[in-house]
Amino acid sequence: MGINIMKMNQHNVILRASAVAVRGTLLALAFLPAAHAADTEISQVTQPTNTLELGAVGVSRDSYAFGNYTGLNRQGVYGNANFDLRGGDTYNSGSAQRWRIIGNDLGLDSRSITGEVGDQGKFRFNFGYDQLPRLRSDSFQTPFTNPGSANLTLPAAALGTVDPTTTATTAPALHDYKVRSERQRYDLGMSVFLAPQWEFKASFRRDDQSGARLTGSTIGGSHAALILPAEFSTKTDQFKASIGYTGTQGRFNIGYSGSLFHNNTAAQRWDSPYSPALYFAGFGDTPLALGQMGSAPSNQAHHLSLSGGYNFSRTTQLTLSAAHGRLTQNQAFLPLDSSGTTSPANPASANAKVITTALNLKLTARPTRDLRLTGAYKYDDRDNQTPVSTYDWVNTDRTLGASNQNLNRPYSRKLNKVSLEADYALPMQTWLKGGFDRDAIKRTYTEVNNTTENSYRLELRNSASEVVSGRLGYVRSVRKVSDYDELASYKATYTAADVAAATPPGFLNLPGLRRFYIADRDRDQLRAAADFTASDALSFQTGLDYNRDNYAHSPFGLKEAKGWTLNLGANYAPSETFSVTGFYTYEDIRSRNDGRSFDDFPWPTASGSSPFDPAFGWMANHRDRVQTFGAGLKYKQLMAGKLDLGADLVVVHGATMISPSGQDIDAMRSVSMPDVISRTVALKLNGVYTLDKSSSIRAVYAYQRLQTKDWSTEGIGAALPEQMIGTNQVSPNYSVHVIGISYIYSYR
Amino acid sequence: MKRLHQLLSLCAFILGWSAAASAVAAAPAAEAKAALERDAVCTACHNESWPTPVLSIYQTRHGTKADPRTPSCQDCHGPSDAHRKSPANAVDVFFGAIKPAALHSDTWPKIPSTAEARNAACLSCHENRVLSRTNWRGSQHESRGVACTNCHDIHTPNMKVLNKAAQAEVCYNCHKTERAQTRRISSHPLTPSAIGGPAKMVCSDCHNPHGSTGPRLLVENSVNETCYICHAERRGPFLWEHGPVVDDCTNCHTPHGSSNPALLKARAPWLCQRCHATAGHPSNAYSGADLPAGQPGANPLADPGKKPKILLGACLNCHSQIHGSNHPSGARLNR
Repeated sequence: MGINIMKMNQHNVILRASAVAVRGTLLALAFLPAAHAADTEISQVTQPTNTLELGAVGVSRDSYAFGNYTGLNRQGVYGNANFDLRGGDTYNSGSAQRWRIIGNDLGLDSRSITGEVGDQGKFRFNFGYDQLPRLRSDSFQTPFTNPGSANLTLPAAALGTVDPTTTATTAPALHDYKVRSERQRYDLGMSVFLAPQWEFKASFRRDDQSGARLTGSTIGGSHAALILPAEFSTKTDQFKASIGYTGTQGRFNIGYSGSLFHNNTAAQRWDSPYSPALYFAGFGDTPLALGQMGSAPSNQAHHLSLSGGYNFSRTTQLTLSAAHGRLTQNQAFLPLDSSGTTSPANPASANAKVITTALNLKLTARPTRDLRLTGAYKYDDRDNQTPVSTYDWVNTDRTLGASNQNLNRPYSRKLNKVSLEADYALPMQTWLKGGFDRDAIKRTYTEVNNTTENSYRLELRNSASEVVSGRLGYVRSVRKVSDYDELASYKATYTAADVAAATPPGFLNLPGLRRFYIADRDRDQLRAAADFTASDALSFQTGLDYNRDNYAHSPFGLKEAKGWTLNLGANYAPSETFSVTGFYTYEDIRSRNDGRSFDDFPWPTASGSSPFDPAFGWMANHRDRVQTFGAGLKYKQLMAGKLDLGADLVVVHGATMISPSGQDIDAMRSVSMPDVISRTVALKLNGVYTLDKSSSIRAVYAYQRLQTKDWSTEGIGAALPEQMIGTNQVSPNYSVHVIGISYIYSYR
Repeated sequence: MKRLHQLLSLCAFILGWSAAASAVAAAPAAEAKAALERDAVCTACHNESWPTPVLSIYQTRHGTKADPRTPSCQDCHGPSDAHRKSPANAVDVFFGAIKPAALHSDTWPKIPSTAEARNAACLSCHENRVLSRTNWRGSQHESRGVACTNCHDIHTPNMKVLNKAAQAEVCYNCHKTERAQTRRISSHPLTPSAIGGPAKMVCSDCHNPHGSTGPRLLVENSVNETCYICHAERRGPFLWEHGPVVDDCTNCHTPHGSSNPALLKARAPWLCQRCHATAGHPSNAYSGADLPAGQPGANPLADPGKKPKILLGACLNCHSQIHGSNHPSGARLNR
C-alpha cells in the first residue's frame, strides 16, 4: 500500500501536465454544469451520495427487554426503510444552498426523520421527528381491570377483600399487562445571519410522552403496598432564542430558554384491594376505599443568559457567562385524601418559586511558550423562595384523617468555586499539570450549613514517542463540613409543639448517622493510561482507574465507596480494507454501609434494640463486578471490491453481591443476598454486496442473549410478600435472532 | 399520523421557499472560482485519484465555495512552501491522515503536528469568525492535548462524530470505561440497535466536548439542569422536596450505566439507608433472611413485614415520589 502511494505521489509530481489538466477540469466545473465523461470521477468524490434503503427485518421471538428503545419487541417480520437524501447547489457554484433529509428505521416504533435546508453563511432551517418506545415489562401482572388508566378499578371480587397480613389466602386474581410508554419528539430550528458577524438562532422542541409506568403506592397509614400500572401522559415544550456577535477579538451571545412541562395526569387514583375490617386493626388505621396520589406537577422554567469571550492577546483570553433563571410551579393541591378532606390552614397551592443565578469566569493565559495558566470562578445559586407553611396532612388515605402536621422545606443551595491550573511543558513532549479547586457550598434545611472541599491535582502526560504515549494523574480531595446538627432537619420539618413534646424526638435519624452527600469525605482518584503503537498496523491501549471515597468521620451511613477499572484494547489494521479491534474492561465497585437496628421510643431504653446498643449494629457490603469483552472486524472490498463485511461481538458478565451482617430489630441474624446476575451476548454481522453502480444488498444478522437473575423481582406472586401484592414479574431472559435484508439504491 | 403530516407539510413549505429564494438569487460564481483557484495549488496533485478522499471535502460545509468564509487548503494546512517544492517535505500543519511511513520519506514527521498547531488552524475560524468555541481554551479536552481532528474527519462528508450511529465510537476511543458502562443492564439508550439503526441518545446530548461552564463538560451549567432537559417532571419545584435530589442527581444515579435498576448507584433499601435510619423500618437490618420462602437464605422466622421493604421497588414501593411530591399529604414522599 505504502509503495503504491509513493508511486502515485511520484507519478503526480512528474506528470505535471496531467495535474494541470485536473486543475483545469476543476475550474471548468465551476462554469460548466453539463457533465463530461472526464468529470465523472471527480463527481464521484465531490458530489454527495443519496441512498434509499428498503427491506425487511425478521425477529425470532417476543421480548420487551430486547425491543426496549428499538421497537423490535414482537416476533415476526417488519418492513423497514432508511434514506439519506441531499441536494442543492454544488460546491463550485455561486450559491451555497443545500438541503438534506435523513430517515431511519421508518418501519419501527423507533423511527426518526431529520432534515435541514439552508444557504450557508446566510440562514438554516432544521426539523426533526423522533419516536422512542420505552418497554418496561411484559411479565407484569395486576389485579386492576384498566391498567394504564388514571382511575384504576378492581373487579368486585378483589375490591376491599385482601387481608394484608395473610395475602396468601386472600390474594386477588392477577392478569397480564404489558407496561410500555412512548416518547414522540418534534424539533424545529432556525439560524439566520442578520449581518456577517451577527447570528440569530431559535429552536423549538416538543416531547409528548404517553403510556403507562409502574409506581409504588400505599394506603391506610402505609402498612401495605401495591404496584400501580399508572397513567403516564406529559408534554414538554422547550423554546430557545439567542443572538450572537462574533468579532475578531471578542464575541458574545444573549439568549433566552424556556421549558414548559405539562402533566395531563393531575392525580392517580386506584381502588383499594385491602379490607378495612382486616387491615391492622391494632393500629387504629383502616384504608379508605380509594387511594389517590399526586403526579409530577406542571411547571415552567425560564432562563436568560449572557455569555462571551474576549481575547486580550493571542495568548490571553477571558470568558464569561451569566444566567438568571426562574422556575415556578403553582398547581392546585389535591385534597388531603381521596374522600375530599381539606384543611383550612393549608394553602391552596405551593406557589413554588426557585430563582437561579449563575456566573462563570475563566481566564486563560500563556505567559511563556511552555506555561499555560487557567483560573476560573463559578457561582451557582439555587434560591428556593417557595413559602414555608405548616401543612395538615393525612397519612395515605386512611380513616384517621388529618392527624399529622409538617412544614415544607424549600431547599436552597449556593456554590462558590475557584479553580487554578498550571500546565508546564517539559522536554520531550511531556506536560506536567497541577491544579487546585475549592468548592464551598451553603445549603438550607439540612444538617450542615456549609461544606468546603479542596482538591489538588497532578498529572503527567507524554506524547513524544511514536511508540508509547500515556498519562498518569492523581487527585486528592478533602471535604470538610461545618458542625453536623443532627436535629436541624427535624426541627425544620416538625412544628415547635411537636419538637417540644417529644424528648428525644421520633423520626430522628440514628445518632451518628452522616448523610453521605453532606459528610466529611476524603477522595482519592488515580488515573493511568498508556497507548503502545507496535507498528503502523498494530496498537494497544491500557488504562487503570482507581477511586476511593472514605467517610471515616461518619459513625453510621456510607462508610466507604471505592472501585477500580482496568481497560485493555487492541487494534490491528494492516490495510485500509481490513481491521480487527478488541477490548476488555473489568470493573470492581464496592461500598459499605453501617447502621444499627432500633425500634424504641423514647430513648434510651434499658434493653432491646436501642440506638445505643451495639449488639444491633449491622453492616452491608455492596460489590458490583462487571466484565465487558468486545471484538470487531471490518473487511472491505472483498470479491473484486463488491463485498464489505463487518462483525461485532460484545459479551458482558455482571454480578452484584450484597453481604449484610449483624442483626435486625428482632435479633434475626443477617445473611447474604443471592447474587444478582446479568449476562449479555450481542453478536452482529453485517454485509453489503454491490450489485452495480447504483444498487446494493445489505444483510444483517444479530443474535442477542440476556440472562438475568434478580431476587428483587423474581417470581413474586400475588400472595408471596405479605403486606403487599406481588406482580409475578420475572427477570428478563431472552435469546433472540434477528435477520434483516434490504435493497439499497444510491445515486448522485 | 396527523402531526407527522403537519410536520411534512411544513418541511415542504420550507423546501419550496428555499427553492424560490434560490431562483431569485442568481449569485455570481466569481468567489467560488477564485476559491477553487487557490485550492488548485493543492488539488492539482491531491486529486480524485488520491488514496485518501481529499476532494470529498467539497461535499461538506468546509468545501462550499460560495460561502466566503470557507477555508482554502492552505488556510488549514499552512502555505507549505517546502512541500509545494517537493512532496518529500512535510506540509506546515500535518493532521496525520496519512501515515508518514507510507510516504517513505525521512523528512516527514513521524507523528502529526502538535495538537496546539492543529487546533490553531481550526480556531483561526472557530474562535473569532464561525461557530465560536468560546469555552475551548482551558477546557478538559484542550488541556489534555486533544486535537479537533482527533474527533473530526474534516474531509469526510459523513463525519462519524456527527452521526448518531457512530458518535459514541469516537468518544469511546478515549472513554473506555464509559463504553463498558453503557452495556450494563440499566443504561440510557446509547447503543445502536441490533440492525444498526442510530442510537436514540448520543454523548453530545449531555456533554459539550468543546468546553462548557458545567461540570464534566455538561451542556448546562449543572448536573441537574442537564438532566432536566429530558426529565422536566423531576424539576419541580415541589412542595415536598428531597434534599439529595435538588443537590445533585448523581448523588444516587450513575448516568452511563449501572447493574442496578434505574441507573442507581446501589440498591434500595441500602442506598436509602445511607441517609435514612430513623426508628423502625428505616434503621432495620435487611438481608437474605427476609426473602420469600424458596429464595436462598430465606428464614421463615423473619418478620414478614420486611418483605415489602426489600422486594420489587423496596423503599419505593411506598415512597414512590422519591424526586419530590406536590400532594399536601406527601411529606413522606408517598403521595
